[in-house]
Amino acid sequence: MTRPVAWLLVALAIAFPLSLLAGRVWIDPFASPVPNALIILTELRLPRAVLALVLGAGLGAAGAAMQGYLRNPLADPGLFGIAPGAALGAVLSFWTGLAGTQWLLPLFALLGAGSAMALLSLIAGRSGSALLFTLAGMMIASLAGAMMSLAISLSPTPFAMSEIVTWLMGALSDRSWNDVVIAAPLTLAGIAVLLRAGPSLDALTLGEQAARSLGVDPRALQWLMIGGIGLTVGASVAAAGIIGFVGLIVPHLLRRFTDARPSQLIVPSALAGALLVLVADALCRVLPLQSELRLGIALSLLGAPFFLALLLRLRRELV
Amino acid sequence: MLRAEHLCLSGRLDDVSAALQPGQITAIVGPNGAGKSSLLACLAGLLDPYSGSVLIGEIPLASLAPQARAQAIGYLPQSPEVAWDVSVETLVALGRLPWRAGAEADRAAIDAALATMELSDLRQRPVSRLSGGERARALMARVLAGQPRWTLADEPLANLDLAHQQTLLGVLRDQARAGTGVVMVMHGLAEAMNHADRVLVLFEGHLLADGPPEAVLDCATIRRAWGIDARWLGEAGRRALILNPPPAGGRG
Repeated sequence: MTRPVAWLLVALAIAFPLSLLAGRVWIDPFASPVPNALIILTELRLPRAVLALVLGAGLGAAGAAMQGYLRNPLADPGLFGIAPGAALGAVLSFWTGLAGTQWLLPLFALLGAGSAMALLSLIAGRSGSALLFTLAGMMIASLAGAMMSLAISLSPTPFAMSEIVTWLMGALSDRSWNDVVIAAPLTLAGIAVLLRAGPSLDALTLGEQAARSLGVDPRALQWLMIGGIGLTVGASVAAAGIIGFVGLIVPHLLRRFTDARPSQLIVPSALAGALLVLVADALCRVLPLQSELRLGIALSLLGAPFFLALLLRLRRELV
Repeated sequence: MLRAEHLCLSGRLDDVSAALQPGQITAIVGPNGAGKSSLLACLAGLLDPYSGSVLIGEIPLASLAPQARAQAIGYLPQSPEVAWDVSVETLVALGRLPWRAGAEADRAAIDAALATMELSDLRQRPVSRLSGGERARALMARVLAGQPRWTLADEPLANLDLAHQQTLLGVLRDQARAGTGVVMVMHGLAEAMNHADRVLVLFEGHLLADGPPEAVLDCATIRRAWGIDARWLGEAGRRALILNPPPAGGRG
């Protein structure tokens, strides 16, 4: 086990139980018991914390793989258009009024993610070129974005509209074990697929041509990327809406603590992503605001200045 | 044997055939845009020719699995790209990716490649803190670590100072003696003349001349391919190319 992995595991072991205690109602294990403490813990906070771990891990791993694939520290799993595709699916479930039925919202979102993946492989799948692939992803993202805006502007009732907009902000509030049951297996499968792509991503360090000379099949790698990013990001959007910046920040912060090979960054990024989302969600719960801060907003508020600082530093290095 | 048969690549190669021998250093030379790098990439199985084929032994290269091809052919691209700031040792270890030989065999091959390229002291240094020449040596060590039967290198001398050019040429000669086929794209005609066993001269996509350097790199061929007047000085193995002054009122 490498040192960053060990540190992150220790941090998670501390943060996880603490996050269960934090919230509107603080549960102090040493004070007199809070009424319904057991229900709050097992039915509200535990699934929420587990979901935070699962989704954070998926987004972190997806970001690490994506940056390795595009050989760019500014790449984000959102670039493939899978997250907007999943979000469009979810928006359609609100639009048709089916979102209230159990399982249907995540199912729609996963269908949206699957459609984006299929479209992506249809457009770019034959060439194996990362550039074409990224352009196709951005095209799908803007198409899905436009269709979402259309759906919102044509939404049947103001209630549906507000529901869509709130949902899109991304949150883990009121999630149950059902969401964990959907998201966890998909995310774990996605991380496993991304880990399989690890050696090929390492070879890409030397450029596409050298990677091919080392035995990397660019088309096979592309399939692994579509599968891995699709499963992790699709599951995350299906369970919690759009949660940005995790996949961008986490691998970037951790790279210096690893040997910088993409394959060695996937597991630490998964752990750090889990930690970041867990802590951010706990902070959202305890902030003294009138209504709970949405997780997606909180992470963007954290992430955007970080991104700006990153750009400024890159600019300094380039001058 | 690595054999190119009637390779055509639209606009870049025009019916190029050549049978390359293991145990030899083959230099591919030619002016800019002659198709040198395209030919090398075809020989490495990285570019699919429009027509024609490349055979390794008697097997078409295109029918080999990527991993088997990577074990047989090591390829050093022209661009010194290294996307992440890995250490020299990690970079060289990437050359072992085609093999699943076990940690011990990997370690031995990596150590040998580092020692050969005089990088043992720099093994922990991040790539970003290497000079251009050190980086070029590290990238070559990456190819050596893969212990390929064929080493195909696109301008391996480009970023090296004179001393390290000689070292690298010595390393490649040792490889050839051990039975590896070495194929290099080069710009320096004197290096090709003095160090190659065989020279392929490409011009506008076709093979202008093919044979031992003394026979191939004559003044007429140089004039035809590069459009310059030059003559050789010195004895075989230590030749230097001297440009003749252009005639008064001549070119340009």
